[in-house]
Amino acid sequence: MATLSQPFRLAVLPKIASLNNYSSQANLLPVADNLVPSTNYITVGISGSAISQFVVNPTPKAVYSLPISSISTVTACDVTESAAGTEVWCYALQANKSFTIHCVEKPTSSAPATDSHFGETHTSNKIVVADLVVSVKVMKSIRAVMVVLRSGLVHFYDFSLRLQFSYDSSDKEVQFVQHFSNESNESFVFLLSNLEGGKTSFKLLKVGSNLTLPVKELSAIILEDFCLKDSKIFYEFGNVYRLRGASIDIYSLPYFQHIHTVSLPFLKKSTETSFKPISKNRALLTSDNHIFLLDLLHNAILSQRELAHLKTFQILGTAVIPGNSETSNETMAIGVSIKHGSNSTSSLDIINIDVGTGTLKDSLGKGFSLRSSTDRHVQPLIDDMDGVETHEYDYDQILKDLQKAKGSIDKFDASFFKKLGIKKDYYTDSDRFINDQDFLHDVVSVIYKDFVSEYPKALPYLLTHPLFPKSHTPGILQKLKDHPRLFKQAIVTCPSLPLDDLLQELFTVINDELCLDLSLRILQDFNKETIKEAIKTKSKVDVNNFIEFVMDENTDDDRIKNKPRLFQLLGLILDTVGLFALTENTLGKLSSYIDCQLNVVKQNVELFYLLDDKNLKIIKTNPHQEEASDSTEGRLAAYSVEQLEL
Amino acid sequence: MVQSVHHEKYKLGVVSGGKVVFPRASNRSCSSKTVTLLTHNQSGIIVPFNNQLKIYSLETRQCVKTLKYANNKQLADAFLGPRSAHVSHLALGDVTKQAESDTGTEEFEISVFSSLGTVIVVNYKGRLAEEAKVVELGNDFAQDERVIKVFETVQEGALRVLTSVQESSAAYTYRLYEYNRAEQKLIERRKIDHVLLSAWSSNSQYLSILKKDQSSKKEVHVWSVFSDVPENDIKLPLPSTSNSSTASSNSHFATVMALDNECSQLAVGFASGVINVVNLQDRSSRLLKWHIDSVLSLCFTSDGSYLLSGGWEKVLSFWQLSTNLQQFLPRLNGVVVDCELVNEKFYSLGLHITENQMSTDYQLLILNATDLNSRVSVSGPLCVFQTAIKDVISPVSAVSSKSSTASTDLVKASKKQQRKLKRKRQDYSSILEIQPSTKHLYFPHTSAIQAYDFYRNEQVSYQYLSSGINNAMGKVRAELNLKEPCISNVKFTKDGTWMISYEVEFSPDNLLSSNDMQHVLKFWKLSEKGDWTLITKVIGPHGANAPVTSILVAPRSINGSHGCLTADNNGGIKYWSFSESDSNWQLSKFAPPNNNHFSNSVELAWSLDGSLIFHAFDDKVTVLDFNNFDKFKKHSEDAFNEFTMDSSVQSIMLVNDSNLIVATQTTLNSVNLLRGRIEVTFDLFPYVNGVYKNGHLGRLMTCDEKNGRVALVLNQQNKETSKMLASDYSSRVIIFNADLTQKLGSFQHSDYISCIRWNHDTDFIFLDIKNRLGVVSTTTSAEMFEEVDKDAVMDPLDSNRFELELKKLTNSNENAVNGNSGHEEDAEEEDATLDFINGEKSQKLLNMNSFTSMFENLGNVQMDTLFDRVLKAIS
Repeated sequence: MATLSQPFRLAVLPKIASLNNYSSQANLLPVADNLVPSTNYITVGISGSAISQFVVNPTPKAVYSLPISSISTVTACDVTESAAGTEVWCYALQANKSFTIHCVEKPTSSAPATDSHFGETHTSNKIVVADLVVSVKVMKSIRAVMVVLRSGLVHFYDFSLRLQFSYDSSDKEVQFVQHFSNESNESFVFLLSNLEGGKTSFKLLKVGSNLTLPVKELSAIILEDFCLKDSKIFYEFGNVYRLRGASIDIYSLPYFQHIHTVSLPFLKKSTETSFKPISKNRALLTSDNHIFLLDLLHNAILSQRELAHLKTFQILGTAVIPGNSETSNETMAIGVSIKHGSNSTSSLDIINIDVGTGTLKDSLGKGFSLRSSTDRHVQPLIDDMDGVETHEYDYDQILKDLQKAKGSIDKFDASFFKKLGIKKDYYTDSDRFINDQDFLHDVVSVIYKDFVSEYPKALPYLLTHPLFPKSHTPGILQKLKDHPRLFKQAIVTCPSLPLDDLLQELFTVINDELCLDLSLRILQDFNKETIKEAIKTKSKVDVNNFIEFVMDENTDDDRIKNKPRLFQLLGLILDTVGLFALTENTLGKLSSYIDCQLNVVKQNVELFYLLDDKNLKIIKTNPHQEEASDSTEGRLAAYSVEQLEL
Repeated sequence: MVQSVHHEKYKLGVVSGGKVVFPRASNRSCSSKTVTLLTHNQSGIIVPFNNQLKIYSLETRQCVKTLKYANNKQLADAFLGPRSAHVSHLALGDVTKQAESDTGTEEFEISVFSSLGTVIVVNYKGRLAEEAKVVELGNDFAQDERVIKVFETVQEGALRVLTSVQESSAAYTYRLYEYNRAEQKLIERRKIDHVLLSAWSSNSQYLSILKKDQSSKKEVHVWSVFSDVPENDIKLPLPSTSNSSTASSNSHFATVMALDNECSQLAVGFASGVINVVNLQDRSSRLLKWHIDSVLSLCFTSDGSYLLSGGWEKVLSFWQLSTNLQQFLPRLNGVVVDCELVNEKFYSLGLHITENQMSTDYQLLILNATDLNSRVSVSGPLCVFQTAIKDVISPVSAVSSKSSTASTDLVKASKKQQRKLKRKRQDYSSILEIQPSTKHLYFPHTSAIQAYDFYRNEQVSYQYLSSGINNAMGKVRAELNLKEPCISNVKFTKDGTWMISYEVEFSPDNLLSSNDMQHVLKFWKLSEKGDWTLITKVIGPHGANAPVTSILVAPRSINGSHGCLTADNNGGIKYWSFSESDSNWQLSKFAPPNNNHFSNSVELAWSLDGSLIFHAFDDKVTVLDFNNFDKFKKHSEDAFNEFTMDSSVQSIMLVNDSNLIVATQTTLNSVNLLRGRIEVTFDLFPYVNGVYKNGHLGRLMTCDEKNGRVALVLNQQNKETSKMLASDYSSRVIIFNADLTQKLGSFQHSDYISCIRWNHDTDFIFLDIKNRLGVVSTTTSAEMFEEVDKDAVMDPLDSNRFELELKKLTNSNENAVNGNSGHEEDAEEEDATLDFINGEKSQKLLNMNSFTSMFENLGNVQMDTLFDRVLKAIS
């Protein structure tokens, strides 16, 4: 099941004003794009402080830092293991108008990280570039660093930062760069850059496997009416998701076709949001101190959490997993949080996430999209024909009238039956137009609220209504116990009564008739396993009452007809509670009763054999199972008894 | 951004299907039942259907041309209108032309005679004439007088028309008219009362009639059609088959007659199975005994040396009259109700598939007289309806059974049928499934299954799925009461490689065990030859006597769709899946039934990702988790795992993995599963109200799984006729979008629709009770629009579409770079890219329908015209 954990702290950020400002902090904390669910090391570029590596387990703490000058902003950072035991750290800094790229090759932090590696120094390469670095990516396969500048230049450097290849994408203002690979492990990258007039240019490049021609342009598309500035964008499994205001647009690659738009009605305006991928069709969305795990295929909130102790929480990086495995779908995300208070500090936090399976199962009943139709009425299927019967009720007005009745039974009934045009005091086909579940729910609520000892006639009517609100059924039997008529009505017709309540009543009610009704209702609605389980969970069960009832020598027609079922239920109950739960007295009675019944059966069998065939109808073992056949003509068997003379 | 909602228009058309008509089958006094006509050049044969004339080539055995009544106003008026006449005769050329002066005879003209006396002249090559020539001959006909045969002379062109009016259940009054060319009128020449049976020679020169005379004696009259002197008639009493006075009535009841071309021999077949051949010169007669049950068809070869006979045995028998030796053509598909000479070279056989008692299924077989092997088989879709439709005819047999009428109770039978039809509520629904890969329509037909090609409008195959007597031979006499196993459900896996059939086997009557039924589930694999091979058979899949009320095939995400759910009427569900290792189907999961609650309202739906199953049982829909095969979040009180509807559920469908369409006996609802609420409700009660058997409403609903469109059929009794026979219906097809918030179309059809299905493409195909097939389709394909793509995303196996496109793009780019003529290809590349910038893929999507129209009238189309048509379709 999809869940979000409470965040736990990784590190407190240094007290630098911009780092503690929620509107800017997310851009100042680039996270190395190498997160996987099992990651124990997380590298974050902390502007004005250091490029720091943290270990998550067993205790979250920093294990290594590359200090940077306090005026430098980290614009991009990446870490990749280049060979066994060594990793390449590459990061880009901006200090005022100067832009630099740094590359460090160092031994991998040893796990488990008990020691910190502060103080170790490693050879560091540095070059100056002409424009802001939007992205750096260490490519292990070609032992190169791919750098994308805001000016649209794509550079390939080796690890000593010698320029190997340069490609001009001819864009002028690259804003978003995303690397991804396909099933056959080929690498791709796409760039999104601002154009004038609210347009955006999309370029899809293929990253080759050698440095002679490391990049090829696959497609270039200009997207009209697509402004990068006010949108939060990410790529995930072939789709690009773009959050803008309170709606998400979904585009499919490689042609960047718009698939559809999801509106987020739960998202409050002017809150600080962050939006990151987490799993196939699923995304993390934060809004101030709320965090949501969304399924964007089914449009459902799989899980949400309000972080009451925080002012804001923003996701910085996530470990994306496919999220369709049967066993574990757990992953993690790193975020930055600000506590409440005027002079509060920010900290890096980690949350663990179970992304679920991405199936309808996870989303069932959790959808956030608004109702597509506002019509609460039963509509006619054909509207261009005469004589179509329709009824539309003003549910709100009727409810108001009912509330006005204020405990007066007559008034309540008068308006209930009149306004809804109910003719009989039970549900009939002509009442099919009263089907608004909210309305029915509200009416029952009003009855519960306004009436205590005496109920209006509307209640027995509602109990016969097949759409009696399910939310009001638990406890209804207890409530109606003092009104035998209503009590029986509820047992017989009220839909979805909980098994627990039914069993409770079965073991306490003394009235034979009700006992029979309860037994039949239980057997009708639930199968054997469920009944057994439910009895097991009941702590104290006094079954004597029920056993007495079954053994009662009442020759009521209904009872005799339903005897097999009563025995069935008796068997179930005895199976569950065990014979030792009964008193000796009861056991004795039960035993003799069963003996007696067995004798009857024996006698019946003998009689059956002796019976002349003439009026003998075939007794079907199970009359209902035959229904599938053509029941036009049922013929009688022509058996006869003949006397053999010897 | 406002989403552009783009919906293509749906259109309804009745384009395919139809029934072979045997125009005289309902007239028991006619020995000959079928009407066919050889074309001018003797290479094709024209066969009338209830909605068209079809021409089959005798060489290629293919249908080469169809003349649809609906395409011509005159034909439509005569044969499709409310008066619904049959084709009672077909003649070459314009037989009605007034004088020799009318020389402009078209080469390919035929005259079509309707049973009401209308003659319509149409040409069968090239385009159907807009305005066909119509001659009305039936203006002076008595009420219920019907044309049954037209006789022509070859030389003089004289024309005689034979009509009949039913007097009583067995006797008819015949009138023979002469056609007056100049006035275009009929002049009565002869009237014969109390006709019991009639036959004419193959060359249409002689007529023999069995009639009751004043003293109720049965007498045979034989005369030449074109002579008007009654004194020249040959008269003889009905030849008898036995001398014993104790013989049963069957041995006196003549069922069929035949007359040879020279008017020298007369053959009479009896209900007892005896054939009496009378030499008309010397009145000597002899008995031919082989048939066990009634003789139903007789015919002399043109030289009179052989007699052909057929009956309930499904065997055609050849009698060499000089030696009395016999040869047989066995294993025909149906009871031989008619055999005739087409010409010297061909015989035509009329077969009646009597196992289907709900409708009259005919098949016409054209045999080559020399080898009896090369045959043209003509049949329409064969459908079994839930209850018998009107005009069901059952042939005469020695005993009375469900599929036959005995000679003694002709009156009773027809009355019984009338009574049945007067019942107010009729469930004529039927089963039709479309195979996803071949798009063939599959009709379960008692113990067999018929595959039908909708686009070619031909039967593809007819395969028996269960073993019964009727597979190899016909049932006779008391055997007719044996009930054959009945295929009551059939499903296909999504990839079309497996077929799942469910059949019910019945026990013989008059036993204690008569009401025990055996339920069998069978799994069939599609073989390379295109027929189905039985792989697994499960007897009593849900225990003894428990029926399978619903079958649902797994979505692609579960075992590649090689799995299915079955549900019984007691709440039990089982999951069967194909195991590659055992190469067998096995029971994999099951949920136990509740032994105390029975309902036939059982429906299933399965989410596309396979995670959830929706099980509707009576008025409750329960959500099951597929993994543990138990109620979803069983112990959670507020989980959305069960909901109750307002009445018992008739059909459920999961659309777009987010809406559950639930049809109950009173309402049609759209349940938003994500919000857990019923969102839209329609009033279904006036149209459904107890008409359909539980679960059958699902046959009238279907859903386009690609874009989530829902089609629903409403059948309504016509108001005007409701006082009379309650059997005239009209229907509507309503198309909704996925969540029922929008009606995309509403169409009327003039007959009762018994089933509608999605064709795994863009269309819905429906079947009406006249066996006609129609289509509700969009002309343009919808692949590109929003809803489509959305649902494609829903299907988990579709996810590699992105990968594919990416790969394609990579490859094309690589080719461009590696290729030498870089420039040109680059330009092309750019064009393609430009197209994408403009946001549309310019290529038009082609589907099976795109080309169907061009195959109409293919027979005489020039090659370049065909090319033009192809270009038109793809450009």
